Amino acid sequence: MYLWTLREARWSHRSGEDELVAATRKGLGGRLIDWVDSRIGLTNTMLRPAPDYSLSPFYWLGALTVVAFIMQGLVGFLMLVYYVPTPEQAYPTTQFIMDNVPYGSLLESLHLYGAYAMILLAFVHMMREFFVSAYKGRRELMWIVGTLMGFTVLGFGFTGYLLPWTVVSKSATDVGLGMITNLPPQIVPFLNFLIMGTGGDAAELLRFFEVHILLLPSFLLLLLVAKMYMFEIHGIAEPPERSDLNATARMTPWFPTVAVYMGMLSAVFVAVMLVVSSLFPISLPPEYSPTIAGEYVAQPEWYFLWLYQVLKISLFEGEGIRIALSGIAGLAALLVLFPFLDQAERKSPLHRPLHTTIGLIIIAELVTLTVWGFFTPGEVIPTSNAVLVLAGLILVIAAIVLILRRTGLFVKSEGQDHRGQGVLAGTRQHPVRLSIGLKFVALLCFGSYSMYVFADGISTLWFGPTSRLANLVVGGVLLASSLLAMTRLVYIVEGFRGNIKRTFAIFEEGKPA
Amino acid sequence: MMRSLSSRIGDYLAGVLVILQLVFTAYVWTLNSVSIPSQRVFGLVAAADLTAFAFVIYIAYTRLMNRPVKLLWIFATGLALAFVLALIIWVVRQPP
Repeated sequence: MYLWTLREARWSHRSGEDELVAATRKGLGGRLIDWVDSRIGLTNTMLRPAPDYSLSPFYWLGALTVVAFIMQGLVGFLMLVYYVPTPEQAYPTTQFIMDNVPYGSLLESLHLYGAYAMILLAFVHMMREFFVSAYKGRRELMWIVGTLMGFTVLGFGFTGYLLPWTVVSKSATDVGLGMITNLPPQIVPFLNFLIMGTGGDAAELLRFFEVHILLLPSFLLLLLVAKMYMFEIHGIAEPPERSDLNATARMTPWFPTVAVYMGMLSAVFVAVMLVVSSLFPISLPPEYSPTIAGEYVAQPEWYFLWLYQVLKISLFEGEGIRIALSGIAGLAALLVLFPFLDQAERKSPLHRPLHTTIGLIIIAELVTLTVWGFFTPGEVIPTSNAVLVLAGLILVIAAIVLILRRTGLFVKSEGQDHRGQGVLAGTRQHPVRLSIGLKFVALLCFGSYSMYVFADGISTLWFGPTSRLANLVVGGVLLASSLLAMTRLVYIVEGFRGNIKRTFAIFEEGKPA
Repeated sequence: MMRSLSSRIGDYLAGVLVILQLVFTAYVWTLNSVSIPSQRVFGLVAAADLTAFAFVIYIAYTRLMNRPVKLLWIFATGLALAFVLALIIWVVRQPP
């Protein structure tokens, strides 16, 4: 209590030495805290206060990912009490945990859903930082460390999936490991040894286990310390277009206020995890054996399905897989180095349609590939279909952004919207315009889907089920028609609103009508 | 100084939630020593316990830590930790 009073006095800058002295308590508890504080310096902890506006879950998604990591560590430790990492014992001990250990099934479910949540939170956190350009303002290294942390989290998923030694997990891991042979020959032996040890199932499982519980947690903790250190230097990134906010915002002490807020968020997060794990307990697939492995289609977990779906495209079969892996590695490198590529001064997604479009395309492509991969296990995807879907998606997203831009959601320049009318920078446009934009988006999605179904039916009827090129052409023409129709609708709406008349008047007479 | 009705309701609500936490924690500790509750029951009770804990500290957060609420949330934190301890103890003991 003494500490709180003392810290509040310091952070609020409302007093000098007198108030600090006045805050001192002379009871037994106060003297005990003084004794501890003089030795470990609790009142001078480096954790900085947070601005008031940041007390919202969106600003603490990274911290929630860390909470998930801590939960995973605790639950994983409890499972380690019984788990034995050998091919003979891995499955029986996992089954023993689920069937015999009190709350063992709950722990297994919690660990799996916790991993899902951790990956999802890390991704949402990254995309949020992307959209608001949080890496600007000398925070480039924070972004780089953050993306490395994201890859490490995926590494947890990859290594942990093998550990129960089920037929599903072993088959999927083998497919993943098979990709290593397609990497440059100079690094293949090193990677093979790093990931699979000296060879054989026992060495592979032990190596995965070591990487999962020792190497990756240590690496993640190191990165976390580095990121926390930089966070303490730069603080929370201000909202877009409000770069001066931290200088004027009311600061909230880290302890107890931010700590209590984070405690609340953490408790709710773990409670949600417990509810999901209790209501939807996982079941263990059969144990791996080479004889029954052939009966199962190797399918990775959902967070790797997008990659799996890309590699199933017929273009990337055989030698083509190297092209795919090189492309994905190049995109990953671009993602890591993105702060150095993005030289724009503005930060708000509403001021940066191209930047926002890229972010939306990344999300849409990943979600589409994941869902598509889930529904087509083991199927080779014809290149024409892949082009139709992936390129079509880019067109649709670009059209949506274009339409939203026309409806006034995006701000063209400082203090002006796209028609040159005055708006407050960094604020959203009139909600009526946004609602119109969203209606067009819904119409566009519905229209595009209908067009796709129609195109598929027509081309199958006319050209036979194997004519993918015909599908592509008919689908493309209908999609373009759909886009044109939507643009025409926007034009009509704009006409009703008088905007087009006003624009012509400016063009012809140099003044608004 | 007379406190507002909402302020007093907040305090009472925090008290009720801590009592709920106490009941949940006692339920798990006493029942576990007799027979293990089902995983679903344990998971849902634990989730309810944590949710109650989250509300208690939310109330503490919004009321700027006046003294009774401060004591209340220290007690609530203790109960939440007791619940986690129950899980750890019952998991690591020798299974049947």
